[in-house]
Amino acid sequence: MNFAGLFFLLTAQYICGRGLLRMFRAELKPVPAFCLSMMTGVVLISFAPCFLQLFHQPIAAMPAIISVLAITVLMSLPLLINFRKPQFKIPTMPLYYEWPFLLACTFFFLLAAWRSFYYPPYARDMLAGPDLLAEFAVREHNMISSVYTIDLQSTNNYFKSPFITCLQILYKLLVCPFGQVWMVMISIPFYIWLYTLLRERIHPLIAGFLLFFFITIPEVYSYSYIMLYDFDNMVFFFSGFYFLMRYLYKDQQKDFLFSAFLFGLATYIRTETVLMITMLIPMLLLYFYRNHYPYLKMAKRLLLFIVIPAAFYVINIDVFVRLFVPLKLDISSQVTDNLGNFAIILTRLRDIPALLVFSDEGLKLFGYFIISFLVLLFAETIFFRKFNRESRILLYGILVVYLGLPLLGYLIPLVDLTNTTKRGLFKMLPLMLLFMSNSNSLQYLSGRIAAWQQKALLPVKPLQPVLKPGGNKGKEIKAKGRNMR
Amino acid sequence: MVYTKINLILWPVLIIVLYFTIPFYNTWLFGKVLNNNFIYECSNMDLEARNIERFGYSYTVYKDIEKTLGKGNNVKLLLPPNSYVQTKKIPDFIIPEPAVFYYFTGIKAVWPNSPDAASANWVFLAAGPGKMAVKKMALVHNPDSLLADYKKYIK
Repeated sequence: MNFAGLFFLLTAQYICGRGLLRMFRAELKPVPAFCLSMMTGVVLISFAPCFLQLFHQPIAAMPAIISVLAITVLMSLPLLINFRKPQFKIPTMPLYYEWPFLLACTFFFLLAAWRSFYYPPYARDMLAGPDLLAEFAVREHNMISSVYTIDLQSTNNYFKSPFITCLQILYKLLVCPFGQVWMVMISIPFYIWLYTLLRERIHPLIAGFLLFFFITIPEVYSYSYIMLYDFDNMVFFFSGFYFLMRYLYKDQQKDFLFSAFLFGLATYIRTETVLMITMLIPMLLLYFYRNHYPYLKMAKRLLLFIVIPAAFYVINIDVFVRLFVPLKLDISSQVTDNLGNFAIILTRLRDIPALLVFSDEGLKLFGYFIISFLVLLFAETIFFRKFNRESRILLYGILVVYLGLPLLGYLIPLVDLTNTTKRGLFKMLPLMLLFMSNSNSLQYLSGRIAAWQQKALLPVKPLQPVLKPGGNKGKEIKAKGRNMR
Repeated sequence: MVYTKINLILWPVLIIVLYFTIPFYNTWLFGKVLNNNFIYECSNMDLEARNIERFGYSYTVYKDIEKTLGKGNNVKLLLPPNSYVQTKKIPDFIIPEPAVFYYFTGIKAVWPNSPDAASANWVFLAAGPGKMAVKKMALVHNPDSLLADYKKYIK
């Protein structure tokens, strides 16, 4: 492994991601900011080989370095323009009782990192698609390589997004022959970011367990180191959804734009995602209506929400695929010609729970994760009968994925149940995780643990909550948090 | 207070242990997660060894074919269907699709049902019980009959 190359790419990714966050003025705490910078940076540097190809430069190590540097300089402009003196704060260490779950999770991270490095790409879709294209682009110094002269009738994977092809080119040229280690550059920061989100909502002990429960979903864990589109698509769909949720809470345009941009990245990775993004519009409309948005503002926001992901779709299909694939892409041939056959939607709606959740196969894929979510949802509905706003938004997101996948299967016959739909379900899993952390049952448990802890650790002189004159629940929670430490 | 602190650390440990006593997660942990032989893997960092570890016997056959035929542009190999190979009782061997075969070997290949099948100048065929070999198409007694025979195995 070329550690210098890896260090160069990691630094470039971080700077690019950081620049992006500054561009969208995303105000985040240091750890989430670092994680999001790394995740988004990976996608941004993936454009480097595309630019080389567009400008007819050879696909080789030195041009790739120059191209990555150019993107990094460009993306660092927001950092330079709005230069702030960096603050080197020592990150807060996890509390002693968080370590067992964190160490267990770290074990899974390290194993994923090792497997992504040691083993060659394995998925058939990669060997007959992006990795094949990347391998021959590196050998022949051109993305339009001899691959297009062979018999490709058994595959259409060369028409997929150049995201993986480009990252494979960069990592094969600069890091290691199998590439692929960039997978963990997305998955590990994503898991850490998820943990920070859970920890904001629930007691660290439960947050640790929930993260551990999420990491040990067999199918999702496999795809954190096996190269394919779906894990990354899940990461950026969730990121977009999270910032959309922030927008619905804080009504800040920057969150809205960043959300649309992240949805755009998800669309760049898997173009079909654009359908699910469109299905989020009713929720936005309801929000606009309730907040008495003027019609013009409403129309502008909706337009932006559609145009930004659609722009990524156009870049993908009409620029990259059209220019880099010397074969004709006939999108109409991929769309069903039997639009009157709605039976497939109903069949899919039945098959997803029947075959992918409540079956032996479902257990092998998702463990007890989805079932636990459903049990919790059932308990919430029966016993608490109250969902907070975040839970309602999350449930809407889960519903969008659940309804969107059958709709995709109806529109595009190639979207089958056992592959595309199965992996498409990944998108709802982080939403379920966040819902669990918001659930009244776990919030109750969280409160009990905190109360017990406070009582046991400070039996004599409990800290008085720091309240503002008008009362501030947030401060109260902070005071309890200090007590816990 | 110390008791509470110990308690707080032991609870997660206990939960992790109990979690992996659930039969499903236990099987997954020992069957899919802890199945890496790190000592072997660390001493076999060679790329070929890692490819063989991942793709098994099939990969060694692809590489043998590559050695035999070279990477010339003038080679086009006719691949038999997988069901044909299964009837010849060749264990652990999978015929890949032409794109995947090209990925491993850099040799162009076609399937019997390809429109270009007739232009193949080499063929991969059975050479006795449990054996496969590559042969020049020109040396095959009746190429059309061979092609028709292969097509019969396509499901």
